[in-house]
Amino acid sequence: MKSLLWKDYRLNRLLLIFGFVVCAGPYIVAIARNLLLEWRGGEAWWAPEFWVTIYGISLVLSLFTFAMLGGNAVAAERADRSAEFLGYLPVSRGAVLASKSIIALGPTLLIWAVNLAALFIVAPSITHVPAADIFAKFDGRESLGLFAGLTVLLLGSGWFWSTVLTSHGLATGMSFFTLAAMGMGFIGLAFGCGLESFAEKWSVSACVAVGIGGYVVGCAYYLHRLEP
Amino acid sequence: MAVSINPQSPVPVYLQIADFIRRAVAAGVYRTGEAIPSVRALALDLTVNPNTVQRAFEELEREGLVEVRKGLGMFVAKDGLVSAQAQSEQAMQAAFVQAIRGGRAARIPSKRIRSAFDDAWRDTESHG
Amino acid sequence: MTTASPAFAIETVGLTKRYGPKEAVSDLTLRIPRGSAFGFIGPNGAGKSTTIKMLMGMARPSAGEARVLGLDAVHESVAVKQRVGYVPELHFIYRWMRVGEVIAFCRPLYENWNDRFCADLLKVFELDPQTKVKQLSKGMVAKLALLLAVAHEPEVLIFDEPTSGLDPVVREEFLDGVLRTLCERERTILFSSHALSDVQRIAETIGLIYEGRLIDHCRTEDLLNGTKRIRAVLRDGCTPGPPPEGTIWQRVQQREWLMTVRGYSPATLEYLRAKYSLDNVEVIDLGLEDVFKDLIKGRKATA
Repeated sequence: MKSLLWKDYRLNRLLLIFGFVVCAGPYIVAIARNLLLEWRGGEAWWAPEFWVTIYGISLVLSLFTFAMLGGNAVAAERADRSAEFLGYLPVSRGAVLASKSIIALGPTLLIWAVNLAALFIVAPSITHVPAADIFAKFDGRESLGLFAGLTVLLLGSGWFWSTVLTSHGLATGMSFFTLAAMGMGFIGLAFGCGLESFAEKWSVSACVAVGIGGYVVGCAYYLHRLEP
Repeated sequence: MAVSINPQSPVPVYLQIADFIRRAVAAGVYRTGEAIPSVRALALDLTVNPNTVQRAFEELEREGLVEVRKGLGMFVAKDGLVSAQAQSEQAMQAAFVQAIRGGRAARIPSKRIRSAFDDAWRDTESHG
Repeated sequence: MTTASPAFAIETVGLTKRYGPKEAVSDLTLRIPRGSAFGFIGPNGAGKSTTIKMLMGMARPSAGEARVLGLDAVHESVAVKQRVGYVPELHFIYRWMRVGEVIAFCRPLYENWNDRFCADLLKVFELDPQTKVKQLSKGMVAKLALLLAVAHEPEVLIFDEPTSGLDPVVREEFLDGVLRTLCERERTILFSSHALSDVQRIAETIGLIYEGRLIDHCRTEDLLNGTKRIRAVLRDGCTPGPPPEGTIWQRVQQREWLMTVRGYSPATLEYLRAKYSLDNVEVIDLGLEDVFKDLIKGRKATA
């Protein structure tokens, strides 16, 4: 199992670096800019809105990371056919999936942890505004809910497409397509059928359901299939 | 041709081809005055470079087995059959010599080597 | 379920694989005893690779079953892979890994990895642990694949065209590596190859596959001893007719009637001499390559 984890980590190393840069980058850049401004004697903007903006940028960019973590999972090894090498080694398909799941989920949780920590620990301590107030200020619950839903959707659908396709690029693209399709579905529901509130109420749950469903179906398919 | 070229053999390919044609003439496949397959036909049949086949023909011409008739191709020469059989007899002789040498190297007594020949003769009579 | 010590290292019963309407492997029944060396020969696309993939649990049979060391090839595939050393035709070892990293990756997956044997082979094959796989030449990759296949002391070796594309020196080094492992203890080897000279060196038994079916299965020397080419020179006026029994290929050119007979015996010559008016009859020994070609040409002609 350790072998597999090391291998999957190395396979995704570039992506993990990208993910880190995209997650922490906005924070580092913005904070550095502020500090530079203050050092020059200017007035830096440390208001809660500042933090919320950065968090928004970081999470939106990280959505790409999540989609790629999902899309790369199985298909990347099919693209260069190294899956055929893995195919004749004595590892169970379950172990292969477990390792890939950890490498996909781990960084996702880490990125979320960084953002939540920034928002609810770092921001209050610097701005001296209680976390609850920050939360309330920007419709925190809805925004976090939406981002969480999109994370699960992109990760889960990317994972599903990765198990059935042989190109990780296409799998990542299809996860965005899935998102677009669902988005259009809900817009259709909202404006076409006049079910706006229904759409709003259920959009996040639907994203989560599709994402988790994609993961489960993808795993089941991969476990059943014999070809690498 | 009945046999194929053996690329692994130390014998050069053109000599192998010459040998095949010689054996075919000795066996009666091509009679005196009859045409031998053309360079192109043999090259395709044996899957070798036509130049190699040409070299084999030149070798056979030198031996007197075949003759060139301008514009018509290669034909079995008048004494071709005799020549082919003489060559085959030489090859047979060489094979006997080699077999005897092999027997002596294995320290088989001379009497047994001689009677081995009779046994072999009987063997070919019944088994072909 | 697993059997303690099955008589057969590899066993297939009615193994079939369909891709759409086409049957790549048809009703293949094969039993390879432990400790034997089996050569799998056949034209391209005959079904050798597909059969091997099914044995390695990488393709699902459409019908029939395949067992390796008594274990079901599909449902007990991981256990099979523990005890089988497999070398494919095309290698897709992780190109970004170094040789040492590949070994470190594979080692913990096997129960019986032999470090010393692995180190010996690294030296013999002249593989540098620091080199990346993508920098290795084709021959070096083949040797690495062989190392990975035998370092865990498998009971069965399954090779699919292992020396394809290798130069003569590397091919010999590869076969040398194979023989080192065969000599150590009783091992079964099944390998498919187009290099019939390799097959003649290593295989004791040969199986010929054509269009998904096993059309011949016998000991190598029986195949060679029992298959002869006959040149019959017809007398003038005599026309050829039904050839002797067991004829798999024939050709008539003027008075020369060539035929290849599988199952040659003195009776073959008696038949010819009795039935036809012949000037001359000659019996010619054939190498494995010629036997193979005639078997296939004959099949194509009757198709």
